Amino acid sequence: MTRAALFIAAAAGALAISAPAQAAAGPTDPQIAHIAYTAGSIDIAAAKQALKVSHNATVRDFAQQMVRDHEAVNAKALALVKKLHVTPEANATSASLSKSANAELAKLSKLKGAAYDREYLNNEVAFHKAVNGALKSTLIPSADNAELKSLLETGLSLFQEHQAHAEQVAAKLK
Amino acid sequence: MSLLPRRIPLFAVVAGALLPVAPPMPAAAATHVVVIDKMKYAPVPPLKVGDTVVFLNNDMFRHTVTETKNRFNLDLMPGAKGSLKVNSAGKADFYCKYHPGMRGSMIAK
Repeated sequence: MTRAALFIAAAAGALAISAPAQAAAGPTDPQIAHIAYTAGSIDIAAAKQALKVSHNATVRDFAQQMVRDHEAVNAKALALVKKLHVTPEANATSASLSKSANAELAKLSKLKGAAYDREYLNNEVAFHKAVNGALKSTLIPSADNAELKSLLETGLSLFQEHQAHAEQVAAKLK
Repeated sequence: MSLLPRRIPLFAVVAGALLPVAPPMPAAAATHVVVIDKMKYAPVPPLKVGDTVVFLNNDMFRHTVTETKNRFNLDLMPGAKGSLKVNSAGKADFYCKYHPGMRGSMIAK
C-alpha cells in the first residue's frame, strides 16, 4: 500500500472514502494534488454528461455550476503545482476514484429522463460527501505546503456548498 | 430587521455611470472596498448614507451579492467588481446565489 492508499469502496453507486486503518503517514503533497485534481475532473466529466443528457433546467444549472467551479479549482491547482515545481503523483486513491467514477458514468449512460436526473444528483450528493470527508480527515491534515493546504481548504468550503446544493436539487426530484 | 422607509431603496446598484437615484451626497461620503475571496465576503464596515460599497471578486469562482429580498444583485465573474450606493439608513442581508452558504450583511446609518 502506498502512503496515499486510502480505503475506497464503491457501494450502490456511491463512493465511500475513509482514512487508512494505519494512519501513521498520510499522502504526500504530489499525491494529494493528484487526488484533488482527479476528483475535480471526475465531477466535471459527470456534469458534462448531464449537460448532454438532461433536459431538466434545474439539473442543467447545477451541472453548469459544477463545470465552472471545478474547472476553476483545477486550473488553480495546475498553476500551483507548476509554481511549486511539483509533479502530481498517480496513486491508488486516484486510480480507485477514476475506476468508480467510470462505472458510475457507464451506469448513468443507460438512464434517461427523470431516472437519469435522480441518479446523477444522488451520486453528486454521495460523491461530494465522500470527497469532503477525505479532505477533512486526510488530505488537508496531510498537506505540508501552506498554499496547497489553503487551496484544499477553499475547495472544502466550495464542495460543502456543492453537497448542500445537490441535496436541495435531489430533494426536489423525488 | 429593516430600518428602511418602504418607499426608498437602501442601495442602488451602480452600473457604469452613476444612476440618478441617490439623494444629495453628504460631504463625508466614502467608498469602501469589500473583497470576496476563498468563498467568503470580507466584513462590510459601518456605512453612512451617500457611501459607495465596491465588491471586488478576488476569488477563483463566479459569485453574486444578492440581497435576501432581491432589492439588489451584483453578479461578479472572477476578477470583476460591482458597486452599490447607499441611499438610506438601514440593514441589508445578502448571499451568493451560486453558493448560498456565503452570507453577509451591511448596516448604514
